Amino acid sequence: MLFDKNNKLLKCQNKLYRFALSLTNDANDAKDILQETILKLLEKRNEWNRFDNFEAYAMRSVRNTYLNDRKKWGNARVIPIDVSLEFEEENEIEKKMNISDLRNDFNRIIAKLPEIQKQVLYLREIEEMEYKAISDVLSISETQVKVYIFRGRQFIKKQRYEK
Amino acid sequence: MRNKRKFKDITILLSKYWNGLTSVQDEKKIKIFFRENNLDIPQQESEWFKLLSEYHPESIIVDLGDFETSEVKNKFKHINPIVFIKYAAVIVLVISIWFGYSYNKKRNEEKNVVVLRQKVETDLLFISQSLNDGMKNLESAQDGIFDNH
Repeated sequence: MLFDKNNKLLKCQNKLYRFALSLTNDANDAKDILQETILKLLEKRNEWNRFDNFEAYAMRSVRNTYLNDRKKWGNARVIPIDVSLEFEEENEIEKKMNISDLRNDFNRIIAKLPEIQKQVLYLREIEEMEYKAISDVLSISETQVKVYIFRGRQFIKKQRYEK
Repeated sequence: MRNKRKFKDITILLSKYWNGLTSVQDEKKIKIFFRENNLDIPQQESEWFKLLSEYHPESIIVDLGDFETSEVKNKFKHINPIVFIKYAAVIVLVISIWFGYSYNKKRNEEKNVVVLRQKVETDLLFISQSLNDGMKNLESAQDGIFDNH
């Protein structure tokens, strides 16, 4: 069975969805990206054992799908955060308003950061991933990850606490 | 006293945090601290960490509906590797038998041609020898007739 209990993909499905959600800021787009990624990953399921960290590989696929989609659709699918706030609140997936609010607060704080720094910060602060795993997901070096985390935190500190 | 110690520890950790020097474990400690304590930390700073400490990403789950049952299963029908190997083995076996049979048939045909050739040669040799003997007998008979005359 493709979706049996031990399936690696099923195990990290929610994490992949959260990552897609952090990239798109829209639940429906995140779902589309996740489904597209699952199909791609299933096509290559014979290669899964080659990867030490399947989760990082799957997350990288999510990001690649997102980047390809964005290239294809331009900015048409990128919904501004303010608009997505209203949309998210009605979404059934995030029934707990609390988590939705927290997610939006987080997005608002890091909104002005470059895209790559946002992704690094999300993976570190929210998903609590190690530098190595982040570098695997984003295909950048560990040193770059450290630099982005440092710059991101400095930015947050300056923006929020040194006004 | 205990709170003072906690405050000192967390201040050191926070300083490391802002400089990007904390490990994941350190950051978890910070989150736990802000979840459980209400110490005299600057309000703005505590906001950020409270946000992080209350943000439980695990509560965001996805429901893909009938995606699994319809699209995925139709597109990727699972092939059991054992069944695949069985079919492959049968095909290889049939091809091997066919090759073996054709090879033997060809070889037997070649063998038969050689045997027939040898037989024809033997027969021709026998005919040739018989003709020679006949000719010799004829010549000796002719010689005998001429001698009597």
